[in-house]
Amino acid sequence: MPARVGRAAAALLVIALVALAGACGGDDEKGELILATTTSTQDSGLLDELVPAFEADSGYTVKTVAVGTGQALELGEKGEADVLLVHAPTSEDELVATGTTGRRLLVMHNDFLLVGPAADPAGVQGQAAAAALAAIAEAGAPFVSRGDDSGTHKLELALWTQAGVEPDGGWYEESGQGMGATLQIADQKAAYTLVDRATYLASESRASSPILVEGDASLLNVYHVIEMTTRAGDRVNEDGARAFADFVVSAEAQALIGAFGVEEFGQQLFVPDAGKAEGALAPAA
Amino acid sequence: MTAPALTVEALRVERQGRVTLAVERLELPPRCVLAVVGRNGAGKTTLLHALAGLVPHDGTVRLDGVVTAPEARRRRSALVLQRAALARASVEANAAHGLRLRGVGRDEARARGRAALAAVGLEALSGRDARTLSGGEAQRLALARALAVEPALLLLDEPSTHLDAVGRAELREHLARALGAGTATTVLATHDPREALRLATWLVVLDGGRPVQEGLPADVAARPASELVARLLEVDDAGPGPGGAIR
Amino acid sequence: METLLDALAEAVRLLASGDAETVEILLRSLRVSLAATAIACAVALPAAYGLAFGRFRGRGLLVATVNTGMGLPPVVVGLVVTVFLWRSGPLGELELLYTTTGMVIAQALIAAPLVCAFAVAALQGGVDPGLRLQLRGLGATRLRLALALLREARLGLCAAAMAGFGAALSEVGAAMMVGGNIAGETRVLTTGAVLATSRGDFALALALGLVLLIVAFAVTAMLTVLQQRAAPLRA
Repeated sequence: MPARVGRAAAALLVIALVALAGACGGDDEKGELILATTTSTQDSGLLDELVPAFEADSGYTVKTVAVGTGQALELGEKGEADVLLVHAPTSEDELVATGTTGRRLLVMHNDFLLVGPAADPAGVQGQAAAAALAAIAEAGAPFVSRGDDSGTHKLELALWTQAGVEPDGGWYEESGQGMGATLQIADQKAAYTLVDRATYLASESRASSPILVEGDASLLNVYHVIEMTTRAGDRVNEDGARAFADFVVSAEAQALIGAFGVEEFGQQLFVPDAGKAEGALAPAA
Repeated sequence: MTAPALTVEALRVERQGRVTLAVERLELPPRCVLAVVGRNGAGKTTLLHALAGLVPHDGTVRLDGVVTAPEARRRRSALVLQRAALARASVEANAAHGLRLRGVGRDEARARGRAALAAVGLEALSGRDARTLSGGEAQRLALARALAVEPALLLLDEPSTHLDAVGRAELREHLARALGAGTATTVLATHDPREALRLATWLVVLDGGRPVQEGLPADVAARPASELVARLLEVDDAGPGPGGAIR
Repeated sequence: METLLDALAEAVRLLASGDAETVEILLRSLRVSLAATAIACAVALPAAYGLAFGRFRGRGLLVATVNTGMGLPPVVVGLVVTVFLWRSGPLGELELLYTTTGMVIAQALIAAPLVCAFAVAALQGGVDPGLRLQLRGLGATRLRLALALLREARLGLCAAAMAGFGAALSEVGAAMMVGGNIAGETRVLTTGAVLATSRGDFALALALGLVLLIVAFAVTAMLTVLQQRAAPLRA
């Protein structure tokens, strides 16, 4: 009996050690690149197409770390990430001001939608975004915010400011979660919420929470790619960052971006904008 | 003249400032069986543990005339505690355990263990889980485990204390056979005067950690040096008759 | 309720069809957590032996510290490990951030106090107090004595290992922070479930949770069989 136990224990130990060997390692060929981006960008699925295409072209291995906007920018500033793909222009400007970045290039945009209960108690349908939010606050209609300092959240807060309203009260809830979860919550509670087009199209809440406001210029969600440099940290892979930025604004990538989602949803999810002037942007059709 | 198998010189053990054992001199010839008798707390266990090299002590201990440090004595002796401490394993495995602990190979250890079990009459139980044994059987197994090691110095701490009269008698006979057949020098701490007289070739009485009488068992019983010795050996209070009467 | 049933159906579908992505993260979960547990045991068992049988000043305090370590939140461990593994951190040179090796380290740190605390209890409670002295009295060398006593406590030690493995397999905070939940590289069952949740795909999240439970059960059942075989026979 002890012999059998001993042998079985030894077998388990061997398995564990082999597991250890397997778990470690994985070396890079050309080099590794850390791309910090946001959860909503990753959730859209766009990166699942863009990143492999870049890796195939360039030979780099990309580690995509999807975190909140604040964390992504922080990682960049500390040199823990090599290149950023984010969509929070005001915060991005702050990062650029630190002098640690390389180029900051316009990549694409998508837009946000104001969705809510079909009954539309606040009567926001067809209004401009800021006016719609003001109406919601006035009516005290339930609204779910992401409340997590993400790019989405910051855009929402900017709209409240534009509407001249401080969102406060039982009708305003903060989920503290990602876009998909927030949309589900709003749908369950028959509440209004702001959601990006890609997440909305991919979700199952479309039927019960129709689009009420879209197309407003203030609902644009603009993406930039930001290169980090060794001024942020010694180990920053400047060459890799440059290669990724170049790729993302290249014709090949821009075509991928423009085609993304068309087959599945019948409409563009992102509008490629590389090379355009910063001010001139139009919403997706 | 062969050197004595065991020599003790100025052996002293102190615990928390108190002297628990002080033996000036003790000499045992080869194959001697020494019975150590005394009240509870007289130092019997301390003597055994000191001889085994398990407690720090002053003084020297020689084996076959050669001064042997505690570490080395541990390797050349085998101690059996008062209460049998057995491993969670079969009787057979326990019998071989002492040898395995010393690095003896599995097959050899098993064979020698089985021989030791036979010597104590436990071979029929070799497949049983050791913890299902009765008190007497467990004690015999502990003894077998020590015998299997074939130590130079065998130290038995009151092996029959927890047994009933029948168990004690049986163990006595097994011990007589085993000790007679072996080559070890044995030190046996005991409460049982019958055991001492049956098995021992030399006897020491301890009181307060010091020897108060020493000699051939029959002689000590016949001429106890004090009331204490008489009581310990259960000698008739009315005084020793020729040959010494044991109640 | 519908979500739960959906989840159950989804879990069955994922496993039965051998869904490539699910199998990949399942195997990675197993590899990382088994490796972490092995390391934790290798470190914690000798330590537990010293704590259980050693006599030195501060021993009690050390045992208390180890016991407290059981309550360490995995996300805090993950954060500390991340700070060490950052490029700017002391171990940045090793480039272990966002790798499975880094995750193994973090999970080993989480499992070790558990294994150690349970092992100390197993050694102190499961070993006949006289046995140590007796085995020394039979001439056991220090190493053989340790092995014999560890063997004696094997029931409790098995439980300790299972506790460590369970903690490693089911934690998400450290795996998320140190691993980064990168698809195809460091995603495991727990972090995959979190991702699915944040996307609103609750059925998938629950399904992954169920897969994790099944995996945990399979490994633990194996160890339990071993453990019970070593248990004493009925008198």
